[in-house]
Amino acid sequence: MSVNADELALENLDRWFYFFKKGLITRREFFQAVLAAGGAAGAGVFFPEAPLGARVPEARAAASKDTITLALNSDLPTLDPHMHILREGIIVMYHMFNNLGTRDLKTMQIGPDLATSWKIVTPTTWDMVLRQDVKFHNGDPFTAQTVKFNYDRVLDPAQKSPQRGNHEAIDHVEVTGPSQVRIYTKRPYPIFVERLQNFQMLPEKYVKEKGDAYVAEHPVGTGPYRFADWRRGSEINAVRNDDYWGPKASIPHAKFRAIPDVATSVAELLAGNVDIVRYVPTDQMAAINKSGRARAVVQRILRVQYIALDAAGRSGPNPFTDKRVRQAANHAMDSDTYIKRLQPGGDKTPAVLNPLHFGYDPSVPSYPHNPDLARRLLAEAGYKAGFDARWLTSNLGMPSYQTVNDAIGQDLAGVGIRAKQQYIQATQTLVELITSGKAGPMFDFSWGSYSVFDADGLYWDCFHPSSNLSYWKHERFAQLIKAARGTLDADLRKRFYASAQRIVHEEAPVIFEWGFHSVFGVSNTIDWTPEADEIARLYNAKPR
Amino acid sequence: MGRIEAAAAIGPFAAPRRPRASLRRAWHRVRRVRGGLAGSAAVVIIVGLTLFAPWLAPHDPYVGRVVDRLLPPAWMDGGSAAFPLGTDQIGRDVLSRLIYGGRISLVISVLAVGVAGAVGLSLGLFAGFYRGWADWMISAAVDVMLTFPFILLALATIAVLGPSIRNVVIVLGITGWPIYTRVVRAETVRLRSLEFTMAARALGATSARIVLRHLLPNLVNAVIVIASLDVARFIIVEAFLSYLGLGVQPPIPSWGGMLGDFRAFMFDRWWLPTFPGTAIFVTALAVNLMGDGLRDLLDPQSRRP
Amino acid sequence: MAKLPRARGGRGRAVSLPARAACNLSRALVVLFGISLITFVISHVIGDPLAVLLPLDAPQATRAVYRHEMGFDQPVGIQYLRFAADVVRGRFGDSFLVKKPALALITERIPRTLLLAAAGMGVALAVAFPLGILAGARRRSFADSASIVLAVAGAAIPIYWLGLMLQILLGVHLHWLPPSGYGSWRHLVLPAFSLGVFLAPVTMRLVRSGMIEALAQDYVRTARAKGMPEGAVLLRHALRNMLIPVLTVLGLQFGQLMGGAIITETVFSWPGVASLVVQAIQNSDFPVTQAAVMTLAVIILSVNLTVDTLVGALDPRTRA
Repeated sequence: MSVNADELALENLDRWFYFFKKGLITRREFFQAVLAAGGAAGAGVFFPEAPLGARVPEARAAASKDTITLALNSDLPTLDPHMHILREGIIVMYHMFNNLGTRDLKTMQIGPDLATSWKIVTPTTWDMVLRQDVKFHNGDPFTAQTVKFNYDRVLDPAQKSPQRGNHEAIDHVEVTGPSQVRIYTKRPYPIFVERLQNFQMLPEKYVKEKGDAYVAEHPVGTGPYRFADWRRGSEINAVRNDDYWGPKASIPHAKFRAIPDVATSVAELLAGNVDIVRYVPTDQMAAINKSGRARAVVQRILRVQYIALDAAGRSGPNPFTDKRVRQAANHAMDSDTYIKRLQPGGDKTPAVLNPLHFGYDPSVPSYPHNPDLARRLLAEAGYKAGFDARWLTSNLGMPSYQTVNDAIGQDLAGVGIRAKQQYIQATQTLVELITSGKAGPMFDFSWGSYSVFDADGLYWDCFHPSSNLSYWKHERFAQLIKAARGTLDADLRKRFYASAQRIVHEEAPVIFEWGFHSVFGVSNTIDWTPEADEIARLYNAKPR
Repeated sequence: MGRIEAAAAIGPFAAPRRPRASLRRAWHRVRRVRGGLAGSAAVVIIVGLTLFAPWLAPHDPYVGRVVDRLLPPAWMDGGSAAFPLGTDQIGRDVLSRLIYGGRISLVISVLAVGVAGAVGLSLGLFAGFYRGWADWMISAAVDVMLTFPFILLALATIAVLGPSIRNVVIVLGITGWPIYTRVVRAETVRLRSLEFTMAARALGATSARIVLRHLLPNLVNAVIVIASLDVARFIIVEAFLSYLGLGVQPPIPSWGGMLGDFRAFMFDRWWLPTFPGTAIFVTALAVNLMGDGLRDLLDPQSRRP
Repeated sequence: MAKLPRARGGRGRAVSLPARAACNLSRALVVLFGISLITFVISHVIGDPLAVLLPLDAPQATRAVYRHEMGFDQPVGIQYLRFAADVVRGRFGDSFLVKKPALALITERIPRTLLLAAAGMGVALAVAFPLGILAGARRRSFADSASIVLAVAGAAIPIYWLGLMLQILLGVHLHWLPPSGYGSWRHLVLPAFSLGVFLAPVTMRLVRSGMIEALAQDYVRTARAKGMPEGAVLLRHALRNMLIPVLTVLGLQFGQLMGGAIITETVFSWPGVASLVVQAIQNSDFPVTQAAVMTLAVIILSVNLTVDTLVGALDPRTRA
C-alpha cells in the first residue's frame, strides 16, 4: 500500500501539537518534533531533487554491466549493523538490510520501508504497522517479533552496542499483532521518526542460533542485495536479491572495495575498476572529467567548517580573547577567492550557519577581505608586530583542505598572525583535545548538525557556554538560543536567531569558512547522482 | 670486525694509518676518484644554492596569489617567465620552494646525522673500549633498535611529540645511532687489541690519551663515511615522513612535503611531482658519490687494479 | 645479529655451532625483552585508551570502573609485568576497534605481507644480482657508474610516487594490470615491483662490494693466471664467497621491509599487516599495535637467527 511520507509526518505533527496543548509534553519536546518534521522539508527546497537515474528504455540498456563498485576509505570492522558507528558502515548496511523507515530523497521526509505507517497514541507510545510478506535472505520471515528482538538487542547493556545511545529513549516494545508493534518510550521522543532511517533489522532465529561472532561476518538482512563474501581488509561482495519486496536493483553484483589511498581510488576509477569514489580532491576533478571514462559530480551538504578561536581562554591566555584580534583574523581571509578557486563551490557562512539551516538570516554580512584594516585592528589591540599561534588542523572532509589551509595560513601571516599548522591524523584525537579544553588557541572544526536542518542543531552543541565543544562564552547569545529552542512560534524563533547571528558576526568567535560541497567521482558506465543525505545507494544506479 | 659488516657498509678497513699520511699519496688517490669528485662538486653546488636561497630564489616561498595557481612551467603553454617551474595550488613559485625546501631538507639531514653520529660514536667507543657489562648493555640496545621497525618507532614518537622540524631531527637521530655504534664498537675492539695500543699503554699513556690520539682519528674515518651516506638516506627518510604528514609541517617547504602534496597531480600535471622527486634523486646521488669517494680516499685497501 | 664479531671463546678460538646458536638465541631473547619494554612504553604514552573504548561523554563513574576493570589504575611496573605475562601466552586482548582478538587480526594478515615481502625480495634480488656482479666485475667502467646511479635512483624514488606512476601507466592507460587490490597474481606484480625497487639498492651495493672483495683474493688471481676463463672465475670462486655477506644482509633487511611495506600496502590497497599497524597506531588501538610489533619482532629475530646459523655453517673461517 502506498503511504505518503509527507502525510505521515504531518499526521504525527498534529498529534504532538495536541499533546503540547494538553500539557502532556514540554515545549522542548514539541520543538524537537517540529524540527524533525519541518527541518527536513526546508532542506527539500534547497537540495535539488535526486533523480533516480534517467529512465533508460529497456532496449537501450547497457550491455550487461555486471558489477557496480564503490570505493571505501577503509575496511569495515564488522558487518553486524548494530555494532559500529561508521558512515561507510551505514552505506554498506543499507544495501543488505532494510530499516523501519527510509528517507524519501525528493521530499527529504522519512517514509515507509519495513514499517508502512506509524502514529502516536500517547506522548510516550507509538503504534507501528509493518510490511507483510517480507522475507530475510535466508527465508526467515520478518514479523512484529523481529522488530521487538532488534530493539531489545540494541538496548541490551550486555550487547554493548555503540548505537545504544541513539535509541535509549525507547523503553520497551510490545507485539500487538503479527504485523503490529507498540513502542513505549521513556519520555516524549519526537525524533523517533528520524531515528527509524538508521536502524537495520536482523533475523532473530539466525542471530540466536549462530551467535554474534558469526553474524558479524555473515550478515543476513532483507535488503536489495544479499551478502556474498567478505575478503577482510580488501572487499565486500553482494549479489542482487531477486526476491526483493521492493524495486529490484539493476546491476546484479555490488562490490565495496577498501582503498585507503585517494590517488589510488582515482586511478581505479579511471581504469574502470571502480564506479563511485567519494571525496575526490578538487584539483583532480579536471583530470577525471577529461578522461572520458568518468565524471566529477558536486553535491551540497549540510556540513559546515570553521576555525575555532579560543575566545574564552579555555586553553589559557591568548591574543584571541580580544575581539579586535578575532575580527582582524576574519578580515585577513579572502573567502570569496578560496571558494571560487580552491573549492568546487561552497555556501558562505557569515555567522557559521549554513543557508540550509532553518533560521539562517541572509542579511548578515560577511567580513570583507581587508588586510590593512586587519593590521590596524591588531595594532590597536597591542599586536603591532603580530604574534604566533598554534593551529591544530585535520582532515574533516573539506575537499582540498590542505590547499585551503595553506592559503588561509598565508593570508593570516600576511597581516601578522603567524599560525603554525600542526596536523592531527586521527579526528578522534582532535576531538579529545577539544573537549578537554586543550585545543586552543586555534583549531579546525566541522559540524554536520546530525543532519538536523535547524540552527539549534549547530548553535546549541557548538556555541552554548555549557557545551564542551565551545570556546566562547557570551551571556546574551546563550539567552537568545535558549529562548529560540523553547518556543514554537517560527517567526519569533527567526527573530531570536537573527539577533543571535548578529552577535556571532560581531563577536567573531571563529574564523568563518563555509558550508562545503562534496565531490564524487562517478563512472560514465552508470547513471547515478550523489544523495543529499550522504548515503550512497548503489541500488538506485542504472547502467548507461 | 666482521667481514659481513664491512662489506655491508664501508668496505674492509686495513691496519690503522698514522694520523698524518703523506700528501702526495693522498693526491694520487684523489685523482683516481673521479666519481667522488663529481659528486662532491655537485654537493657543493647544491649546498651553495640552498645557502644563497634568499638571493637566488625569484619569489618568497611562502607567498603566492591564488589567482596564479597551478601555472605550468615557463616553457609550456600557459606558463610565464616569472615562474620558471610553474606554481603550486595556491600560487607559490615552485622553484623558490624547491630551493628553500632543499635548505630545510639538508639542514634536517645534516643535523640528524650529527646527532646520530655523535651519540653512536660515543656509545660505540665506550662499549668497545671498556667492554664488559657496559658493552653487553649497549650491544643489546643496538640489537633492539635495529630489530624494531624504524617506521613504527617514528610514527609512535611523532604521535607523542607532535610533528615539527625539531622532532623529525630527534626521530632520525634516535633511529640512526645504532649503526654508528655497531661499527665504532667493532672497530674499537679491533684497534684496541693491536700492538700499537699495547705499546702506548706500556709507555704509560692514560686511557684518555689512547682514545684521543690513536683511536679517534681512525674511528672518525669510519663515521665520516657512514655519515655521508646517511645524509642521503635521511633526506629520503625525511621526505617519507613529510609525505605521511609526520614531518615538516606546511607551509614550510620541504621536498618530501611537496612530493606528497603534488602526488595526486600525476594524472594531468605530471611535472609537479617530478620536480621535487628529481631534486631528491639528484641530491641523494651526489651525496652518495661523494660518500663513495670519501671511502675510497680514506681507505687505501679499497683500491683495486 | 652477525654484526658482532664471531663468538669466540677465550683467546680467539672458534666456538662450536651449537654453542654459538645458544648464544645467539639468548641474545635474541634479550632483544625480545627490550622490544616488549619499548612497545609497552609507547602504547602507554600515546593517547588515552579509555578515550578509544568509551564514548566521549561517558561519566566519570563509568571511566573509573572501566579503568579499574582494565587494570589501568595499577602502578606501571605491575602493568608491565601483566603485559609481559600475557604476551608470552599470546594474549593481547581484543582490538579496541574491531572486537576480535588482536592476535587473530594480525595472523590473518601476516601471510599476505610475507607474500608481498618475499615477492619484493625476489624482484630485488633479480635486479640486484646481475647489476651487482656486473658492477663488481668491471669496476670503474660505465656499467659500474650506471649501476650506482640506478641504486641511488631505486632508493631515492619514493614508492608512493613510483607506485602511482605504474598504476597510471600500466593500469589506467594500458590496462595490463590492476592498479590495486588483492586476489590474483596480477595484483601482486605492481606492488612487488615497487617494493623490489625500494629494496634493491642496498643488496646491489652489497653484491658489488662482495664481488670486488672476492675478486681481489689471491685464489682468483691464481685462477686467472692459470688461464681460467673470466666467466668461470666469476662463477666458481667469487660468487660462492659473496653469498655469505649477502645472506646476512638479506636477513637484516627484513626489518627494513616494514617501512617499504607500509607505503606499498597503502598505495596498492594490499590488505597486509603493515597497513593495519599504521591504522592501529593512529587510532590508539594498543592491543593491535602491541601484537603486531611483538609478532613482527619474533619473525625478524627468527629470520636473523636462521641466517646466522646458516652463515655460521657456511663460513669456513668459523669452523674449528
